[in-house]
Amino acid sequence: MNHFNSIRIIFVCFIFLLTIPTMALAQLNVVTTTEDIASIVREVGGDLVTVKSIAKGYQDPHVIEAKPSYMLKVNRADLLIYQGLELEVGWLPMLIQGGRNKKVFPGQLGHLDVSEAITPLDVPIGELDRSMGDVHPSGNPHYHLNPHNGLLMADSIADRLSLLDPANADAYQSNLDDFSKRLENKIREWTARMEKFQNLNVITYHATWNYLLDFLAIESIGTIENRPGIPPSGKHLSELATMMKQTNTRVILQANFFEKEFSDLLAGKTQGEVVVLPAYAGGTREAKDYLALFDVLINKLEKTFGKHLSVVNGESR
Amino acid sequence: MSEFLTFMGAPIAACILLTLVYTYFGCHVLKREIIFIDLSLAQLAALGTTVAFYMHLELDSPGSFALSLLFIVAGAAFFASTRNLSASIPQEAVIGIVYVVGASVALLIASQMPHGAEHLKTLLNGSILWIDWQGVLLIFCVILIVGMVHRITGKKLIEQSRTYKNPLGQNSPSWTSDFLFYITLGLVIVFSVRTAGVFLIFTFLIVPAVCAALFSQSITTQFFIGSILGVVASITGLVLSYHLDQPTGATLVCTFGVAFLASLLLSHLRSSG
Repeated sequence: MNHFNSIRIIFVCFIFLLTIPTMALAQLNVVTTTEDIASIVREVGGDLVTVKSIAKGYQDPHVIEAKPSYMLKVNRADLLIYQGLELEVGWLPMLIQGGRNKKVFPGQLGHLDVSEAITPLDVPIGELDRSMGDVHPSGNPHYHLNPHNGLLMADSIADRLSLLDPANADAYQSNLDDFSKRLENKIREWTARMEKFQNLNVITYHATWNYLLDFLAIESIGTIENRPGIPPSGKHLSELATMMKQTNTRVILQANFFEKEFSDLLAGKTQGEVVVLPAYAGGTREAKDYLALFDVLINKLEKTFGKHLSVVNGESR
Repeated sequence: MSEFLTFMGAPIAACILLTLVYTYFGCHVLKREIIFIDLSLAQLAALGTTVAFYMHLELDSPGSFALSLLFIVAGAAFFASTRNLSASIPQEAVIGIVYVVGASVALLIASQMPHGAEHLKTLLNGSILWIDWQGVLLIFCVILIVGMVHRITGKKLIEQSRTYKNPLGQNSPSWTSDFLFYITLGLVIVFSVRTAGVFLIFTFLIVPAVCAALFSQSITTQFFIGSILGVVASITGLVLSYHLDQPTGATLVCTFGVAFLASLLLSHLRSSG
């Protein structure tokens, strides 16, 4: 009897050992272009997925230097998720080709463009004229900066994970519910804290912040780059300065991967303040994931706007 | 190893092909003292692509290549002419002027387009890592054409490059042979700058030729020494880039830099010892 028991224990242990490698293999291998998508995949996929992001949070995903490991990542991926709306157009198509992995080719189940889940802002109306400058033909690609879009992104990611791994669909659903609940609570908190700043005006460096400002009901009255990616002309800067004075605008927002010199120049002429913000999860040490990114953003904006709101009110009194 | 070859096979083949053809041109360029000719021609090619982009032509479409070639032809004709127009200005100055004006015109056009500057930057940076076998074949065909042209004019060209600075009567290069030299180099640049990038092409052109010039005065010997050095440095750079996971172009350029330092040291030891 004793003998039989020990055989049984060994047998159970053996079976257990056998399942360890298969469990590891069963993990879905997800590659994302940005840390924000990676962060949401981590929330929704939990232990069932491994996820790696190509662009780091402090890098501008418009421009990424090619490294061999990116091709290896794409080559081994079961699922490639990207932000779309031409954000990664400069390098992702070549990377997909270079990765030689049919699973993540366009049209396959392992290829997910999250922008299909959201409604883009700044979509040009009518015929597209490239000479107009600030037009992304399919809309502004920085949509992750509205936390409501985070909910939609998580939905779409959970759907796709369930399609690829139907056995764990329930787990993905419950992870999704949990994440959505936490995000919704946070959205209520952020909205409440920022309510008093609604209809304030700001200047932004690049159209990066339009979704965040849309969420906070804050108005962007101009961008320092009058055409994305092109340094401003002197005339444009002086027009902005006049506009800032007329509208009593004091705050200039910019992402931490852009040069600060033009924002500083404008701030110096208008008694304004440049607020440098991380635009992606991982952009600073505190903004370590998608929720933490917004905590950092809201903390900084609340402090800055609070200071300037009191100045503005003090002057008008 | 097999994984390394899956990903790096095409880049290795491309680097070897480009090293060989650019070392050949490099030896001539060095003798003629027109070191920055490739930057200037690459900038003209980029200007052509930028104009094409502005006219809504797709990148890498035949129309876009045609415009680049058109700018290169104009540049080649200009460079071939200025040499005869005025003997008092060095050719290097003309090359420099074309480079800065070309770059600025491209920037002015790019400033009319969203993310135009980034477009310009990717045009000039490129990445050899993304090249596939089809791209290698294209480069091979271009090199074949250029090689055939030079096969016919080669002997005379070597003589001309050797005496470029002090031409002796009949050896003085004609407008046609100068034009042919610029246009063939331009052709290789048009078809390689998008994949290799300006820095890497400059490296391929100059470093092997300079290293070889430390050891020999004959263009033919320089070409052989430079080719061997270039191929070894290319493969070393690609292996390093893969194993250290660093951006490929920059790693290659640095490897060539180290090769240059080593050659300098070696030639110094040789001459003093």
